[in-house]
Amino acid sequence: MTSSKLYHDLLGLLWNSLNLRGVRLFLYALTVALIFPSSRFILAVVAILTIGYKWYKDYRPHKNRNFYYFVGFVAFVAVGYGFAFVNVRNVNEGQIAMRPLGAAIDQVTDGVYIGRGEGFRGSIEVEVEVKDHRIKDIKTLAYPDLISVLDNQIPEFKKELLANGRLFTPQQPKMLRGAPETLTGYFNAVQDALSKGTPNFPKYNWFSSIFLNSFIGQAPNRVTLNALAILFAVFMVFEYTLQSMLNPGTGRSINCYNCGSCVGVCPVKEVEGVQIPMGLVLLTRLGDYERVMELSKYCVGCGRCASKCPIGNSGPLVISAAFQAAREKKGTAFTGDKGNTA
Amino acid sequence: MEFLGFITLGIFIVLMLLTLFGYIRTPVQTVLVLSTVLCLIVGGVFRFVAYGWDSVVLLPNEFLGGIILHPITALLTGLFLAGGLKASGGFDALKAILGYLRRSPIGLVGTLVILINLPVISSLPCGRILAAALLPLLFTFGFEGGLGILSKSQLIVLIGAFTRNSMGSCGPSPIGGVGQIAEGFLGSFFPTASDGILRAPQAFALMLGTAVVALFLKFVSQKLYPNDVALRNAPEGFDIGKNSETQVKAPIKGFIALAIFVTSLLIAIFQPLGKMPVQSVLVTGALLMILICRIRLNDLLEGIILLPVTAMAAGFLAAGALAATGGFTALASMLNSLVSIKALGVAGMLAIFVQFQTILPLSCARILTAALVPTLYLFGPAQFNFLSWSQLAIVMAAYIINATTSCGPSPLGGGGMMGEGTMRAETGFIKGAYTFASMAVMAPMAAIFMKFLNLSVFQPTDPRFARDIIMIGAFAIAIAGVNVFFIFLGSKIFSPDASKNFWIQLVGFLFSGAIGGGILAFALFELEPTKILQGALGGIIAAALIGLMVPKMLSKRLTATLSGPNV
Repeated sequence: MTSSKLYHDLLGLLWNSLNLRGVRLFLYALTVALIFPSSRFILAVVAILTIGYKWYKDYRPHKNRNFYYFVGFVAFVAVGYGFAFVNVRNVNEGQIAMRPLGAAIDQVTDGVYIGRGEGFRGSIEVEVEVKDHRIKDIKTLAYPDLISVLDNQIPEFKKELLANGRLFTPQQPKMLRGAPETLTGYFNAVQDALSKGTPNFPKYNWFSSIFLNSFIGQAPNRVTLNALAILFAVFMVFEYTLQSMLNPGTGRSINCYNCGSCVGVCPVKEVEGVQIPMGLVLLTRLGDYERVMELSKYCVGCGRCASKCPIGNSGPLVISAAFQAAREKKGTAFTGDKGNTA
Repeated sequence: MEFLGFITLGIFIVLMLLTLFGYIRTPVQTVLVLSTVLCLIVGGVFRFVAYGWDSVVLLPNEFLGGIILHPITALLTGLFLAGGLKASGGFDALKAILGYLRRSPIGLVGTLVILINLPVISSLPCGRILAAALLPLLFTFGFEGGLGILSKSQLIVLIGAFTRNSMGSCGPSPIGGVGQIAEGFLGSFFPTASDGILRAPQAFALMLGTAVVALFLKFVSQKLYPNDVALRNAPEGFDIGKNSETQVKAPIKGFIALAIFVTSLLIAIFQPLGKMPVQSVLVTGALLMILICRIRLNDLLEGIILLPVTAMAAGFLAAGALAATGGFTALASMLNSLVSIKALGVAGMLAIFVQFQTILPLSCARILTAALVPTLYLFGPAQFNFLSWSQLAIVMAAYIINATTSCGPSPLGGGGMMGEGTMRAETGFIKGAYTFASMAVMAPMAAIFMKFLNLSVFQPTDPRFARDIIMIGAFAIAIAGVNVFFIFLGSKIFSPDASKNFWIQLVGFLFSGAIGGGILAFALFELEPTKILQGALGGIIAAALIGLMVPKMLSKRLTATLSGPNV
């Protein structure tokens, strides 16, 4: 294969892949996992369950060895998770003992340390200077919560830290939305910075770090679940709209108002539980071209629906475009007149 | 800046009117985006000239601030759940339950009443979901549909009333309903507004309005447009109502899906597991349906109805652009100048304002609601101080029910066209009935309900509670009684002359509009005769605009083609 052909085929492969809904969904999930660490655990579980179900369905009945590959992968994840779990638990216990809270500040050596904590709207970054086992100064390097939270607790807390020279748990404000998260994030950032100045402060091993970042990120909570639910809904609509834009001629289906006025004038009206032609237009929007192809034989092509449609959509035109898309999907060249296919 | 506001408001209104009257034949969302772009361009140029580049840079943020994500995503997840319900046979299960009811002591009539009110009972985020699933079932009740239980006239009433109830059920929906937009605004004063302060007034008004629609369709519409429904009557000798019982069977997974659906809805409403967003609950419900009822992701996608989702998003964009360029301030100052007309005053202006979306019905109520609720909010203590918070809540209730029902009579692909399609009627057949009920019954009733229940004593042990309930009952009887009387009176004096009938109908609209406006003014200002008269005048103006847009006669094209030799 020449390089130009490979290049051509590679593009073709990519394009064909993008035409598959499963590949697109995988890409959406991957994008979310990359930019949204706390979603990784949930997405990993969903991915493993989905792949497991698919593989079980495809390979288990035929006793194909691919099924056992999957079982091996799941076993690897389970063992890895167990290993990371034990490591994380031990490290966390060790950290509690050496956490630079209160009197444990004595263990922190003098120096300037940078630490991060998760606030209400993102990562808070601070620079802490320690001298003579006392906190001498705290500089805030990044503070995204500034835009949304009435945050006079933070300067107050900082003032008290500097006055005491050591870290202590702040009293949680209850009235303001996001304020507890912000204050906790700030506290965690200071603690993270101080822990870097503690000799032999327990740390996760490299395997646990990679495993946690790859599969878990940060612990999922209700906010993560809600964000995922919203992202799921948004991606699905995006996907729903994109589907009909990827196949020529089917884009008109996006315009459908679902008003059903076309059904009222259609001489066929309903076939196999599908309202004609609106149901076929909606199936086209969904990308179910095979079903449209099956049912298109009932369309008599009279065009009354087009005259009745409030935005001038033509049922036969959309149906014929879906028919064409179905033929192309099957890999058979269609040379007939589009108008006759519907 | 005020001058700019008038320009952008003009762009928005002109584009909407051109779409409504069919001069722009493109999806309304596209027109809204066009309006947004034009407003932003004009606003950008104006700001650049007046304040410099920095002011232009702020413009995108200002207009994007108009988008409220919650109702959009809640609506989407509600649609997924409905898609899952449909794919797993949940609607068949519903039909089976209705079949059991039919054989129960409540009989056919009781079942039909429940069926007609099913949309408001289930309160889905878009009325089209249930209408698409159940309208074919309703059609089967007629002679053409096979069962032959109902005559042509009865079927028209059934389909029309059911569609009316559907295209309004998006208002009280707790899962992304239109009412949530207004509840969000009221939340700035009423701490629990987002829990559903507008839900009960809307649901009550919708039920009463549905009954009036049924009567209007029976006694007015069928007389005004006698040849514009192509449904066939049963042949002579066919015994209507004596047909054999047919049993609808539903798969077990349909019942499970229905149980999941109802449970999700209850959890979303009552939050028994602690506060959690509606979206999380509904997506979890949809995923449970995938796991338990073995449906596909595609089935969830099938539930999506793009129109309300995109209309709401586009509506928010247009509203954001108007807000950023001073369009709302211009609108508010225009309405303010209406207030300064002594004959109208605040009461008259509000009586017109609450009917705005019935005057200008678009394919989805969310479009204008997103744009007009902020304006209405400005009438309260937030800016103009025309109204107290309680009065604002009363107007909001009246406005929102009117807005949510506006997709019913819309000729722009509104939900009512589904009903017209099912009853094989010309476009516009249901418009008179739907607009009349929204204007004359639903808006005043919602206002009264809000005043005497939601904003009043809510302790059943308190004697004032009983008094308020009696007041609501009395008003309901009075409002329904007067309008039913008009309907009967109209039906008696209609003649074969369509032109004369149109004017008779218009007079009925004017009388009902006056009463509706007066009641709204009473709900707001109690027994102040001047205010009540001002409200009545506002109601008459709104009713004239609504009544004049009801078609005098319908085209006979459809009837001719469906009954002609070509079929």
